[in-house]
Amino acid sequence: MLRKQYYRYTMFLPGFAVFCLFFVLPSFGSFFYGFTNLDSGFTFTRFVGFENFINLMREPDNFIAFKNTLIFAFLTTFFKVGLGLLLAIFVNLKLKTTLYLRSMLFFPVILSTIAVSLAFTAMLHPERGILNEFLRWVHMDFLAQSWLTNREIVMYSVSMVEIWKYTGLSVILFLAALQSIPKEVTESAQLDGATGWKSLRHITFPLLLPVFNTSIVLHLIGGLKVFDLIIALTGGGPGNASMVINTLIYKSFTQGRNGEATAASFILFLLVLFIVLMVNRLLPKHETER
Amino acid sequence: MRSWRKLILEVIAVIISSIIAIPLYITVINSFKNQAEAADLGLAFPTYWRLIENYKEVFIIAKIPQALGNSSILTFLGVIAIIFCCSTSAYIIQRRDNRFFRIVQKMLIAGMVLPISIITTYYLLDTLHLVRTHIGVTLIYMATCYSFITYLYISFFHGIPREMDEAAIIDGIGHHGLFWKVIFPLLKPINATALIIAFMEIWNDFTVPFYLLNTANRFTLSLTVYFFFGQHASEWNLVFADIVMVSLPIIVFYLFLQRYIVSGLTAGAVKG
Amino acid sequence: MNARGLLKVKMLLSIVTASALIVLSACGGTVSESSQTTQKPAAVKPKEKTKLKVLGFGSWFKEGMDAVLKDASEKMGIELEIEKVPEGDDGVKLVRTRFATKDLPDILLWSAGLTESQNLGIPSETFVSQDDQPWISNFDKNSWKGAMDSEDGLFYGAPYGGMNSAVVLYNKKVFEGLELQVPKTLEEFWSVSEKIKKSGKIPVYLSGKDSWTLQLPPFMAQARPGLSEFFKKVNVNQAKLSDWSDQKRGLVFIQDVIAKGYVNKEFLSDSYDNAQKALADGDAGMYLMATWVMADISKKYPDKVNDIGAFIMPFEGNGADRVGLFAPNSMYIVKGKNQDAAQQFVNYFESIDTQNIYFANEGGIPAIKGVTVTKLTPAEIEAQKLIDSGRASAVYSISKYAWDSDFGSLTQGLAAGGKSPEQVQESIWNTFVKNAKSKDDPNFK
Repeated sequence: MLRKQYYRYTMFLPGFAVFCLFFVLPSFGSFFYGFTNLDSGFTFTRFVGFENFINLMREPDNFIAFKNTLIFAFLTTFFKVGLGLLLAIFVNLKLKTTLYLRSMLFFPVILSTIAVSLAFTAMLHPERGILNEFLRWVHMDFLAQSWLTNREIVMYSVSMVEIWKYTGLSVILFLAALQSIPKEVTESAQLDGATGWKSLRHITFPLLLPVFNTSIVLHLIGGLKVFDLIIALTGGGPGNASMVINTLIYKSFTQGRNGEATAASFILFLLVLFIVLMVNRLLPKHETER
Repeated sequence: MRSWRKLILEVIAVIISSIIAIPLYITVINSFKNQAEAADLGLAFPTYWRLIENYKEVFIIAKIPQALGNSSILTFLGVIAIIFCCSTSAYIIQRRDNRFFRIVQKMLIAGMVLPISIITTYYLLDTLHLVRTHIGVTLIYMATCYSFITYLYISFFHGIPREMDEAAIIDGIGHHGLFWKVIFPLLKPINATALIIAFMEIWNDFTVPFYLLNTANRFTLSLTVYFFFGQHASEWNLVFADIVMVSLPIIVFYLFLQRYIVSGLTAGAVKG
Repeated sequence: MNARGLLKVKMLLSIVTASALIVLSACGGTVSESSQTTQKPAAVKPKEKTKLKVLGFGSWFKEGMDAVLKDASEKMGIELEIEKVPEGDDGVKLVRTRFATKDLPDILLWSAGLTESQNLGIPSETFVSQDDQPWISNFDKNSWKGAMDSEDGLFYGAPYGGMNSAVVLYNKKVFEGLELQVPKTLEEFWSVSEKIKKSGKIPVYLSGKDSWTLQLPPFMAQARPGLSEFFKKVNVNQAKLSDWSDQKRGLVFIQDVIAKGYVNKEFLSDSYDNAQKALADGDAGMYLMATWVMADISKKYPDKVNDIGAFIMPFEGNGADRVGLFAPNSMYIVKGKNQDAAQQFVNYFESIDTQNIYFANEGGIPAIKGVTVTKLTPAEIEAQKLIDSGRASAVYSISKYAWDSDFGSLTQGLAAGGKSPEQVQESIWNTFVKNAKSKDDPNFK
């Protein structure tokens, strides 16, 4: 068999072995603590069975955290991938200004969350923030909001910041894929009369599909596991209005119930995995597959 | 393209650029202010530009040169290992595509979802006598970035037709030669992307050095931000100066690699 | 890529919420009038260069320690190899991991009153008792009993850094301009607030963006002499935190001051930084905070520090109210081959000469008596006078289980109008009970 000889396991194994030993094993192994009463000193005195899981189900805050996590994940994924695709095609046009834009787009991804949250906290301040000042300046006062302290809209404000920060990541993924489309393909398509939208629809999109799917999966995972940005911008507040599942886990940890926290992260792991695999199944299959 | 349409597009690009730029501007401008002015986190120019003072102060307090050395070593080792292992793994996974490798692909997704467990990882490294060694940390980085980067590579390999492999094989090339001489050169855009992402991951990470490397002389740049934040929590001017300093190498690296991501070097490569 | 970047930034950010909390969660004790003890400087002898490993929270090493380190290197020939861990749970976790794997420093810097329940081993086996050391003669052991000692009654920690106090900081210029007196009762407090409001300024500044700052009013209210008695009962399930009437006064205050409109308009969006500016500039009249904020204010607004004074928040009036005290942090000597050298350093550190060096460079109220050189601001001096007059009480008492880890966000929920004081207290009691149950405490079956 030609294939077996040329695609050898020895090439696949080194990375995979390190991955299993140094990541999968310790991470998965830790879920064992979810069935104990592990404390903050990392000692446990007994196995508690499913007690931790049952306690978690009773927590009244859980519903809002669960809801917020889903809103955040799907909303941000939609915009990060959608805008990312549009912007990738846009900056690929090679205009003068798009060159700057292309460089600029990735800077937010690089910038530390601390800087991002500090800057946005200042910009979204209801009185002195630039956003409301701008809205008042264009006489759209009715749109000026308490962005981060109004319980109704806080999740959307936080999502907006996330979209601002991570759209650039989709852009470079799409750009890399766009480059791998051989010029011959687009040129010959143009000879056949496919231009503009047609060329995009029939040539470019199908070839971008694998990266499109990857991008959705990546951003969904990121969104479902969101933590840092929420803590930095709102701390889950006001009250518990912007709590997500990971902030709940964090709460158990800070209160010293590490067993319960581990159980919670196990639930989150299964939940995210389930959602992602479902979505992955629904995504259109790769058309470039031969 | 008609010129008015072009103009509109240019204007749109400028608008989007400025939306992106404002928070970046806030970070930079506040790194030049004094403590009292920076506390407002405002857009105004500083009354006195502390162009060097803040940076000099951070440079000394945070022991930047030492941290830079440590960050560079870790990032270099980690990135090399990641590119090497993930590209090869992904190639085999995508090309063979049998039942086993489909399970591996599911594992990769699970790997992206799985949270890192510091405590058990610490015990593991301790057992292997790898705590506080560069090798130990490099292995952890390889393992934690593996699923994500490999997944990226797989999606990219879909776009490289198998006919290329077959053509090369007919020319009588060995299996190592096939990958390193024929396939790898085609990966420039995704290599550049993976490189920048892995670089950023490791450069900005402080969980791993914090728990698994932390000794007084093994500080990394990302740890300086972390500590700066704790110790100088209301000296935002210094915090921002440190953040700018730490981000700068990644930005330079990105600007440098960018041309590989976008310049279309693979065009025409199909001919082999 | 936030797919992966969670944990790291999570740690970074626990600082946002927790950097001040780590100071807050230090156990406090009651300080009675300071009895004058004779000054006995510790014998200081230069020795061959020793290197000591020190483990402590990053923000605890500031100007004071820098100056001491320089001096120690010159006079004592002692070099400290300092390993800093970040504030908050991640740092705590790291230190516990170190102790669990027997990767020990020579000196540990930790909050006062280290007990077995903190999971750093049994104190008598792990740490060197300080009760027979020369420095302790300048330290008022009796006042700090129940707060800085351990379960066995021995003192393992030596004070590191100053104490802090929770008070109302007020802008004297605002008060003088409106001819206002420091209020002695809650009614007077409200009438003072009304007058400040009429003059167009903010009477009481709330910095709800940094939710930990909202804990200060209840902290001040709970600083009462009976606190440790109350907690002795709570620890064995004979009293409930939900019946904590002292604390409730502070929570009700938050509700009232907002309802009466005596606070800044965007009190949920304004930060700790904004509060400092408003107080220093005289845009706000009062700010309920602890004296640690004065260090920041004197750095940022050096010309306005003298405008700020301190008084006790009059929740009850009739002299029943107290300055809330936060104990100083502590240095613990870890048993091992370097313990003698470490002890030598601690004795040197606690000597009056060294303490003078420390407090000449850093704020805070010394817990060692006889310190003559300090860097106290007028507000801190006023607070110190109140403490010396016996009108001070610890904010915290040794609690067997944690109850306050999300007290900040609960008080923020209260301020946002989503929770009542009763619900907040119900919530902290539930946390306490949950933690007790997970430890199989027989009193909480």
